[in-house]
Amino acid sequence: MKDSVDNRLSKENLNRRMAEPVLSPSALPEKLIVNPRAMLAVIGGLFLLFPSPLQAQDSGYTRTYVIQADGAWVAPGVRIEPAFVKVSAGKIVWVSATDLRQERTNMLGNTSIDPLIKVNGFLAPGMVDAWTTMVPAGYAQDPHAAATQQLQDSLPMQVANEDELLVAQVLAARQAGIAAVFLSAARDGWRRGVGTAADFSSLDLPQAQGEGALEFAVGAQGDRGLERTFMIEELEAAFTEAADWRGSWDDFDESLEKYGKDLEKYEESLTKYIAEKKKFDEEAKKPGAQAQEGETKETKESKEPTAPKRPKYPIEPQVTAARDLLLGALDGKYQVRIHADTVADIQRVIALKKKHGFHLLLVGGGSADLLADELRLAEIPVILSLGDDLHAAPPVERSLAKRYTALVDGGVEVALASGGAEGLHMLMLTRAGELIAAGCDKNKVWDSLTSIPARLLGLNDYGSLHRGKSATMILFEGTSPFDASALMKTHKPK
Amino acid sequence: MLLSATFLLGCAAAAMPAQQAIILRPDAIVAADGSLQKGMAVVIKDGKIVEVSANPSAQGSQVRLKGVLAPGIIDAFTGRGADFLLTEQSDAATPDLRAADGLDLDHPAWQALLERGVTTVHITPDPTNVLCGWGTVVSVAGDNRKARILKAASRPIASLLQSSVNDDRIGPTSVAGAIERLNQTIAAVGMDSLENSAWFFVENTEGVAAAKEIISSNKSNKFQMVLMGDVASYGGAVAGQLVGIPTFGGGMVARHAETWKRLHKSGTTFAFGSRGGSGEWSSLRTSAMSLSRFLGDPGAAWAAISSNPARMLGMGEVLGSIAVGQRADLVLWSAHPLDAAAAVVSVMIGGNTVYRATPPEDKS
Repeated sequence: MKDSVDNRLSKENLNRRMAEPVLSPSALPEKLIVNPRAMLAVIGGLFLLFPSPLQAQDSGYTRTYVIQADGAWVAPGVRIEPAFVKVSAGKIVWVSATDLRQERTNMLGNTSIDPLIKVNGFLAPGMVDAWTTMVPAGYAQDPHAAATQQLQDSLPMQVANEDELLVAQVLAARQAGIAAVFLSAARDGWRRGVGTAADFSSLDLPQAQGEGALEFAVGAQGDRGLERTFMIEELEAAFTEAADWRGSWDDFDESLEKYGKDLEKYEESLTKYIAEKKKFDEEAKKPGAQAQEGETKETKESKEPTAPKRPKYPIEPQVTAARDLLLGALDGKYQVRIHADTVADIQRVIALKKKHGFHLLLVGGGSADLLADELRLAEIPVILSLGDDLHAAPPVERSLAKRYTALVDGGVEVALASGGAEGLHMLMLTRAGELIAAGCDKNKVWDSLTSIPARLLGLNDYGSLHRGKSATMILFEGTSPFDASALMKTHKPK
Repeated sequence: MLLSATFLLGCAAAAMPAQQAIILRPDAIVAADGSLQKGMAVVIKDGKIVEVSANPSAQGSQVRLKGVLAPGIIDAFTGRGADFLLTEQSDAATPDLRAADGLDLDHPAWQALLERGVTTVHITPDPTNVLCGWGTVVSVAGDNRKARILKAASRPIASLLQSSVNDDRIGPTSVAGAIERLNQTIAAVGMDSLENSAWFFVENTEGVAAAKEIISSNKSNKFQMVLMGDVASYGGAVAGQLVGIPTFGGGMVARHAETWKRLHKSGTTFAFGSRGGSGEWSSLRTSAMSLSRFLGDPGAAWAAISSNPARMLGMGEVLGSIAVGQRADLVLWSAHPLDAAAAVVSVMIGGNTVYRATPPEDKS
């Protein structure tokens, strides 16, 4: 095929160029090159054969060793003293109060044993920050529509020196004791695309893990101005439209069936018509067939057969990327994260969950504590921001500590997160500690920073120190991870 | 907890008329290096600490305290407890403005601060004029104005922030213009306004250089800096000094943690102030906890809200630590004050118990 100048930069052309090294266009049947849909299908197939590098990468941790500490906070309610933790390739192999290392003998008769690293203090799982706005460089400037943008696709390759700003944020998060995060699109507007849970590689870059989540913000958390009033309506309408659209395929299928039948009838009529028309034309050409005196024009015309009308192909429901994401959420492919704060908005978010049944996380939840019972019954967990005013100017009832306690006591699963404010992830542990100072239960607060967010984000390797979990841990020398009067270090696997 | 707090309250009340020594025996005290020292007794008399030892020689009533006794927290620069602005907008230089004149001793801030273990604040004028006026050191609680104001005119405050050099209503509009205005003012009002260890609020290398130049051209070397803005971009210019920094809040960027660490390694010491920092009442303590994490040095972090602000104000002998000669501004905590889970049990200012927390089980 010869490219015209206009054609050279067309999308399908670029797609074809991408595919060239693997499969030359000349090797493809002409039809596939011409048909853009078929072309995309082929490219899609190629990606299946060669999985995305983002998914294929491992974390880069390789070594095997055993850490001996004074103790460990293994999981909610499980604490041991002392603690021996065997780590291999970044994962925990076993956790025990006794040294389970065994000597091994190799083929040459040499014995070896896993190296033991002795440390002071207690080991605990790294925290999971369920709400950050750490994003890859240039993400917010990406020209794609915000509604359909997938953050995972923009994560940097696992290459040293890639995205230095992001590396600095990850390093700061690590130092603060954070092992995994949810990367949320830092955007305005009520539709925010798909964010992703991620952990950190040996190169201190985020790697997508766990579940993606379709993000929305309603009310004051979305855009400013009058628009905010209508955001929840728009969100409801979008999901209703998506559900209806799916129903419209049934109508389409019916129409298509009818179309098939109509087409058969049409073809029959057409055959009949052609035969009749042929006969008519032949008769008209006969010399004696010229219009005779007394025969009116009308009667002659009425004899001519009329062509049957071809039935119309029914209108196919239009596919849009934004709606596809909503359908993905309705099918359980994505979680839905809705940022809402007011009682009115949260009530409608609860109704939305009841109607569509998707996996929903309420983010922000300024007034969520006032609806704790409803949220518990609807099984909607809440992600609160530690950036919210810890003590609050009057009324004190609205302080984060009171709101957190009301939700937890009400039986709602609550994760405490940095809330996406720049740099706040570095202050997460001390701010969470302030909740304890304000009277919140220390163990519950710790769960809200570790096991609960890990579960909510589908980060199965995080939240506890059980076998098979990530070995990104913290090591604290004080009375708890919240005690800043003693040292706390973070353990990055080797 | 309740029992010990009641003891503290009771003994203080009893102590006032008799001026008898009281021997406080907490589980531990927070030493100057931030570490916990167990088995120490703190003897107070006439509102001051007269002895700190395991076996005090002084005679007096002994009070057993359950918890950790620490010096009260000090806010190195704040606007809390005063008129909102504390500035005069009709002029760019207000050398005689006194923060003490804008003090509001009935402000609700005082109680909030007390509940968080803050016993002394340094109220400064808002740093929006090139020469802003004088700060004032105020005790968070006390019987009357005289008892509350520890130093009516503490330090002259100068500012080379954007807000002071880019004011298109009254000028100046550049750092150069601000320097000229500062020098004019010094020439007009004399050296008194600056020689007494002036504080310069700065936010860039130009500001630091200008402050140094102004001070040296006036044949002095006594001045201190309060670092605002993006310290990562200019912090190296103040390495090794005692500097004021605003409490941490949102807007912090990842590289700041690294900046504090490097400045700490170079011998720089810090004093936290809440003006220009986080708006939360507890920001001094939470900031110190975060600084402890950033530096890996809890002692340096504790000093940033206790002895360092006192030293920066030239009051290190009387405020900021548990040592002989210090004011008895003491806070009893349920654990080390840098342990986030610690809560204030009671607060003593000048030897008088002025606050006693409601035990958690009594909270409705």
